[in-house]
Amino acid sequence: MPDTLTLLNTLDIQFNQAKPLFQVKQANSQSIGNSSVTTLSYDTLIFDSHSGWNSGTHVYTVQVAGWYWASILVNWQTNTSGIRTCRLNRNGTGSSVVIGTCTPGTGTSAIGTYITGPVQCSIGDTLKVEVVQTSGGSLSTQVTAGYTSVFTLDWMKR
Amino acid sequence: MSSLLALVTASQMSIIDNPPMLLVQQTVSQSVPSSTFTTITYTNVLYDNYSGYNSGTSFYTAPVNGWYRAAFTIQWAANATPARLGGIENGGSNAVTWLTANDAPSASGVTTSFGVSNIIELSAGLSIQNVFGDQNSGAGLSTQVGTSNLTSYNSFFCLKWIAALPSS
Repeated sequence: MPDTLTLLNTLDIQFNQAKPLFQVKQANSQSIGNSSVTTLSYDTLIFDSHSGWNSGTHVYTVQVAGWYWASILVNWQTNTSGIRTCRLNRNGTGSSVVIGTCTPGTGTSAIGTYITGPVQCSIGDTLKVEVVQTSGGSLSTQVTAGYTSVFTLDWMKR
Repeated sequence: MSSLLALVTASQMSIIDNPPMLLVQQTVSQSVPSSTFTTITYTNVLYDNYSGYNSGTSFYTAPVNGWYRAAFTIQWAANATPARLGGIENGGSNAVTWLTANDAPSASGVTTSFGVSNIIELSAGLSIQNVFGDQNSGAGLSTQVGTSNLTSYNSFFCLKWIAALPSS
């Protein structure tokens, strides 16, 4: 007879085998204007279990209500000035929870801005990723040498 | 499947169907002394379905055993002197579960965002987890809340049950 852990894991699979999971990434670099809140464009769909993604608007529309775990990674080309920010936007409003900033160092490497956190959604809610940079001029995302930008949504509870 | 379900208790089903989760946020700035582990005060409770959070102490008591996904951020006010530290500990005891650090901004006038996400094992009623912050700027440094750098900042702390522990 299976132990309790085995039973729980089996049940978890049964309940969650159809849970929403979504991931896109950026294969082509995108230029971001200085001090301008910009929607990040993701051109490569990795997985979209419930067909919520609109590749034209770069907006995900929630198909199953609940709490989602959002993970956002944005890689920037080398530049040593200003800040870099990425955040989740739900229904047109920037999140004050799922938001991350970083500042570039003095080196010559690309840098990544990363944030992960929860967001509660209803059916029909819209989610997208916004970025801000204040380098003083336009700055592009980094998509070569292994760098990319990724947006993931993982449904975790009702 | 029906025989499988029969072997699982109602309480186990309840945990799977409605797993414990905490989400709290800091909406009031807090001064953190230099070189001192300090409990971060998340006073705005956004979600706590098992009432495990004490907003007076900022400690969370796990309602059930299990593996939990844990994540936190600390938003620091502008200051160019390194470094910033943060982690999860057990009830303000400095019994650190995680600790990590990063450098301060490379220029003054820029806020710093600092966050970690990982998995931790908690025991019901015994694991009292809180987030602590530390910084070595040489003087007190406040956390950042509200709007700065074109965006809104608020530090958060989240715990969510994800799996049962092995039977002992």
